[in-house]
Amino acid sequence: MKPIIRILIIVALFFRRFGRGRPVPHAIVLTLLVAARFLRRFGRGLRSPVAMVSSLISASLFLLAWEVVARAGFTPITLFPPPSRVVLALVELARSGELARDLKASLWRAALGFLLGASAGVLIGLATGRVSWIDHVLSPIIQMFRPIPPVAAIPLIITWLGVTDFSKVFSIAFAVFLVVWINAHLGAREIPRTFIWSARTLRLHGLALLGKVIFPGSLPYVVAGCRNGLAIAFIMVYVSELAGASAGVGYQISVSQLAYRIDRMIAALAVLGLCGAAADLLLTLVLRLLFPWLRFTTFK
Amino acid sequence: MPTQGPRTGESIQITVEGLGVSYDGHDVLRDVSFSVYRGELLAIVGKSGSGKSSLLLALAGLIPRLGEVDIPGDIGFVFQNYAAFPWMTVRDNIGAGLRRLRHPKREKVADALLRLHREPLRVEAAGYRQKLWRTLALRRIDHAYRRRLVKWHIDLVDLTDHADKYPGQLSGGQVQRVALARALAPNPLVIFLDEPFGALDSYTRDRMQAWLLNVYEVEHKTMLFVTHNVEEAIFLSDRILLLGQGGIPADFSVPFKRPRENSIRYHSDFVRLKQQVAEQIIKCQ
Repeated sequence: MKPIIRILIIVALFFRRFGRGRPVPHAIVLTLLVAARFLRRFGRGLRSPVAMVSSLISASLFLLAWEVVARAGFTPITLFPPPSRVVLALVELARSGELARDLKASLWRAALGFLLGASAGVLIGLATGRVSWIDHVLSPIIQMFRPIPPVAAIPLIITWLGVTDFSKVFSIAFAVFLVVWINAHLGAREIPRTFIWSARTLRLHGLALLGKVIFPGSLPYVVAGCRNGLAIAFIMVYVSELAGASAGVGYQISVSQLAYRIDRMIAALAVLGLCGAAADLLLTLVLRLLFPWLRFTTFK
Repeated sequence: MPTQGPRTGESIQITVEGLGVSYDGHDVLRDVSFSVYRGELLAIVGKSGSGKSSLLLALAGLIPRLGEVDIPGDIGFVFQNYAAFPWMTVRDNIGAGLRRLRHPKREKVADALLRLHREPLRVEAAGYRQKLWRTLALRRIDHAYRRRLVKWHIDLVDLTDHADKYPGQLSGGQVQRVALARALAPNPLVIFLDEPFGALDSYTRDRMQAWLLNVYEVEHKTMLFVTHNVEEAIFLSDRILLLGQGGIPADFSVPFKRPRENSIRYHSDFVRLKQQVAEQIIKCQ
């Protein structure tokens, strides 16, 4: 079965479980099963049991030290809450439904912004990397925007597009686009000449050349760009929610600060970090399924 | 210049007159002239930097060239590095040049197929439905034809068990075999090989040479083979061109009969020819 079909089936199953109003544990079990499958297939790079146990021990020691210091009374417990309080705050957020609401809002924005920005970045990057007149026309314009920190552009974007979801998605897509574009552009330029020559003697032209040689030939760079872009999408989703949002993990952090709920702030931060890590893992796994040859090849 | 090749009565397939190539203003090749006979395996030897690879690239039209060149339009090319696309399986690599290929008798086969069926595929039943079935049948016929051709070439290069692997999972020799099969599959008139075994160890290299001769016996294409290894050139080719500054200072014909055994490498005529060519290479400056 083609990997793309396999991914679609997994996604469809996932949403079917949610859609029928089944209890959430079903979805969790399914996720774990899928994760276990992935780990079995791609887990060769995992560290040895000794390394895993020792990292587990050091992490628990860190949490224990944090707990002891926070409860020792050097600082007010509300200002520097121990991890147990953070977990309680997380449970509270989950019980009240705020966590689900915030996650839904944030992840939706991040995903849409990433997809829009990354696809535009890849398409335009391949075009500017391979076609010299497009390069001459577009690259100077894009290069003008590249030194601007995208975070600094958010007030302007809000002024022009309003405090809407659209302005948030747009600012995420803008930031992702810039980093994915430069990678795709370089990747397309750095394709070994031999591949292009081979394609010409095999009479691959136009779309076939793009799909069969130029896109896969620049893929190692594109993948690196997309992983950077995903990290930036999570930065941007937080920043864009600081102003004019009514839901989202970033919104939760700023509201909790106003309410002086430090434990909630830390809980939301942890959720944001976990989401970023999970998204990166998911992206890597999807790319490995779609492009299994990346594992065997280093032509750069 | 003789118009008859060393093999019985072959006609000329490639003519090169005053070929020149320059990179960044300095001449890599100047005034190179020669002809290649149909079905000939021609080796081109020379020092590194003598422009052997540039000669092939220019003949293939991949880099700009000067001079008169008469060469068939469809050629196959085997490179030394990055020979196969690492993102395609062996099967897809070999099929990469066959995208537009059609079954030579597709119309006849489609008609016969449609006639075999009864309702609703009757040929007499005109209309969009018949056209649709016919189009689909033609596509299936072309697809099956291409698949059969790919399979045949996979078997030709002994990669039957590796058809669904990626080049990254294969050894260097196997990758070069994929590249040769990919160049052969669209059935070009001429194959260019640019030091195809240059990156292989000497044992693999010997095996690949014997194996290339087998393929040559089966396919019998015109081949231009660039190498810096004199022994390889003599073992494989019908004729050796020495490429140096200012054209082609020497031209050797190789008298050994085909099919060739590995043992001719130790034959006294072979060794003498090898010495002769090597001395010429050193002489030409």
